[in-house]
Amino acid sequence: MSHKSNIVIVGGGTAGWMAAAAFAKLLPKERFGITLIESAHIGTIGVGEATIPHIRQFNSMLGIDENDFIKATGATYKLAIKFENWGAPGSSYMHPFGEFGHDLNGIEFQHYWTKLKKSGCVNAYDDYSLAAIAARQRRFDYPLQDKNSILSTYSYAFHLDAGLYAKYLREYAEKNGVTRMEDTINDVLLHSDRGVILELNLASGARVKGDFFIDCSGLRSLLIGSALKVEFRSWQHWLLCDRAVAIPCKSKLPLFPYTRAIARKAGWQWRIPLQHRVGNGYVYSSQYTNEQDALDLLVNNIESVPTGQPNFIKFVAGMRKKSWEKNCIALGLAGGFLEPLESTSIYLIQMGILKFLELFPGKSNTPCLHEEFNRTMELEYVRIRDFLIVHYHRNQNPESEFWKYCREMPIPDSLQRKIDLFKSLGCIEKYQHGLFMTPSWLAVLLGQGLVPETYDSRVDAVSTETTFKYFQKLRSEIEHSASQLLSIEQAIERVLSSSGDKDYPHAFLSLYGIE
Amino acid sequence: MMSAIRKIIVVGDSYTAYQTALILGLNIKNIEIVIIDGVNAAHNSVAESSGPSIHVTLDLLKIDLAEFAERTEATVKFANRFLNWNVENQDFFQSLSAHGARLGNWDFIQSICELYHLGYEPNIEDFSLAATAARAGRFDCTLNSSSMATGLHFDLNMFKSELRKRVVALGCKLVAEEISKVVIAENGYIDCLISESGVIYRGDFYIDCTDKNALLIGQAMQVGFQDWTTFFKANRVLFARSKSSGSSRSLATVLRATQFGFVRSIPLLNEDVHEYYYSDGTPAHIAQQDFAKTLGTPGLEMHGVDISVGRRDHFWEKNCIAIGGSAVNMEGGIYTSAFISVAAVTKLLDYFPSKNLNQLLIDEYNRVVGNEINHIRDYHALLYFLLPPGHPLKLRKEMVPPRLEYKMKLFNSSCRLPWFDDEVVERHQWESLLLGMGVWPDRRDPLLSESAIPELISAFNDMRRFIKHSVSKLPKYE
Repeated sequence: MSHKSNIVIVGGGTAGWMAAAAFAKLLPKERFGITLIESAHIGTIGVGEATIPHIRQFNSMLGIDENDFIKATGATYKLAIKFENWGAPGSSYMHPFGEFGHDLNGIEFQHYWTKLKKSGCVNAYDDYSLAAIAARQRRFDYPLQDKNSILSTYSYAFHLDAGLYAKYLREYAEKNGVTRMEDTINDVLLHSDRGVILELNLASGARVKGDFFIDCSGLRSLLIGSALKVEFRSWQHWLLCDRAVAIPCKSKLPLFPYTRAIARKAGWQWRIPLQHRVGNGYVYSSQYTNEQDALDLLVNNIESVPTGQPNFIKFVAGMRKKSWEKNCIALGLAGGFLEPLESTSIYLIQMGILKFLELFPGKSNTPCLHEEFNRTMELEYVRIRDFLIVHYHRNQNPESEFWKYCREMPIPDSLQRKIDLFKSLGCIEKYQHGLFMTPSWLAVLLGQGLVPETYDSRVDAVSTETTFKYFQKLRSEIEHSASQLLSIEQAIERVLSSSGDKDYPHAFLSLYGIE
Repeated sequence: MMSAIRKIIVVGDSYTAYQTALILGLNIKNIEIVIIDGVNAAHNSVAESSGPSIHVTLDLLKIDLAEFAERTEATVKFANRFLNWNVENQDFFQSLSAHGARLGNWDFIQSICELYHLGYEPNIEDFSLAATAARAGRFDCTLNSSSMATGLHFDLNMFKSELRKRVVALGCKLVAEEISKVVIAENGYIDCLISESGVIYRGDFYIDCTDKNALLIGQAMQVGFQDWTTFFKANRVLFARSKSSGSSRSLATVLRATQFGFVRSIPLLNEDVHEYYYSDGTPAHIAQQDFAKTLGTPGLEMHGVDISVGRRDHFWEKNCIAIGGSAVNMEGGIYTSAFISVAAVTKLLDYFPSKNLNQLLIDEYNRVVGNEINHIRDYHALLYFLLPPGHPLKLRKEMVPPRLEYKMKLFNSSCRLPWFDDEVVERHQWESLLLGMGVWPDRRDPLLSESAIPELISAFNDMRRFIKHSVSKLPKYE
């Protein structure tokens, strides 16, 4: 009889159950046993109430019906994040899941926009994005497949109840053979020579042996941090926020198909609209405000009565120096923490799961598999990190000390080069691997008021007047097309009243709707 | 208004010079282009074997495919055919298109490796419509699918003549003079070029297309050259032409390893062009004998030149950019200078400067193009590494570039290729080259269920049968 490999997942939050569900679906049952250990006494942070479009691919990979998922998790559609007061006081901009305009004569759209901006005759950059305009108009419908239509130039994600999502995945995973143990970890036994994890001793006295361990124990990082002693690399000097307070409140119409990220005195406030409630939170720096002031600020800035107790969370931005060590990988907060400003938590878990499945160790757990996993995960984290830092660094808040520090702090060289290139020339440094590509960088840099000093000189071959007219036409086309979509309430109602129709589009790994 | 570049001077009489001028002239409005083409560009190749990117090139050049084919004696390319490359009697068609199809949650490559470990000895060529069609000499010009990506073989000199005509028609000025002096200003910029007759040529921007002479960027501006002979030992090439071997052979470029070097044969419409690459450690007469024996056609006229494979430390220096052989010389591989030079011009369009040449832009161009070229170098290095032990051009294990070593190690242990920014060679090209050369990963896929194996075998049989059947319905190439 052949040996059945045991995979042990520690922690049952979003990361744990996403891993369990994916493994249950993709690992052959005759060769793998999957156990998940979680304790009802240990709360989960419930990351990822706001998501990005990649979650659709994850659900699709599991064979989950999107409409069923929306019903089960109280989800609403999300087309963008609206950033308020990050640039000039009182200003706002959208970071949409979609493109802005399109290249003209082989020259990127932002160069024409910059020229018009310098002439003082152009709308905000996000006025040229279908997703941004639809979000503002509170409209939604599925993107079209016809690449010639402006209605194909975006993608979508969800606002969801992370607790319900974890529950939904738990049901899926258990139905597909995952064994759940209600217990807590007392001790982790390592092999004396090789240093690999051999077994977990649980509070109940049970001992769980495993061939491979997935650390989803959240910020406690029980396996990769405490047991395997993989160091944590802090990025707190760039991402100062180290606390969050979250509190839900009653849902209040109208619904909005976007997350709000509102700059506050010592951090920022989120607002995430679900079907049954609104998620609210304040991410802040403990150097610049205290717990009580943070809670007061949040409570004073939510739209209706809180429906629960405040949840205080402490964290440090950064990541483990390795995400795969010996026979253990870390997923979610156990591997690293990046604040939820761009809704990347579930994405990072998803990428960790997919990469691990790609490099699945089998009998030969060779070092180059670890190396590749660690290389790609680090690249993901570092590129998201830089993108988050730029939001803080390019703020224009004139008053707060926190924001002044962020503006003046030294930033990573990789980010400085990117900003310099854009500031001087209007070009975005391109890379193929990473989440946020040119449209996202443009949304934030231009949205926060960094207009390039120059633009591509070839733009001058077209007169300002012609360019202006073209921009006007494009804008009214976008406005008109967006106005034809369903209202967000109608779109949600369509799902809630659906009975098994799979009318949603094919899912793939892209932020902007480009396959 | 920005201070736009209004005048560009292109130096060199290579096809690269005309191609660059034509792409810029067609894509940038209000620009004056002067081509000083009395300068000998010292270009070696006479025929080109392009990948599918040729179609993008023709779009950029606004040249109709049928017209191009007619004027350059072009033939269609589906594959690279490797003969005796790493084992005796090897005959493998490497398709330009991706192989096979995804089966459920498994990539084709994972699945075929599983089949190999089950003892089925699958031939990757059988799972490519294009490779199977190339072997059978069948082609249908109405087919246009991702599984039948086509490149072209064509005569470079004819292409050059065509490009020359077109740049003239576009209004570019041709100057049939040699450069006697490149005047460098105190700030290191090119101030002007002085021709042999004493005429001064001054532009906003200069493009060095003088191939390996690198008259501007190398000789005048002293930008260093990285010698890659540690990776590629071939530093001599012999050229020969023969009567066409027949159109049934025309759908692939042939790469054949010989006793002392290797031969690349490019089939044109009316003749085949052969290039024999070897190291100067092999005496010239031995190389000639080896070449002649391989071609099996006695009495062929052949001529030889030295080659120096490598790249410039950077390609854009102040107000001068090197395109083509003056930037990088990758002779003897699959991705040729023609491909690299178009990629460079496209990048130049992406980063097109104003008169105020910003160093950040220059650095970014050099960074990206440098990365791309190093990736192509690694792919070529793999070809040299795969040659059999004891072959004079074999790249020894300890000399393999680190990133290539990492790629192969990961492929071997996981059947996955790591991927980096600015990769140019498509993933399926790496995979098919490795598997086609018999480099199979060490392990079975731990995620594949035993119960899925009969289904997998059946799917592969169906795929093979379908491809064979589809190819048999295609007309003969002629």
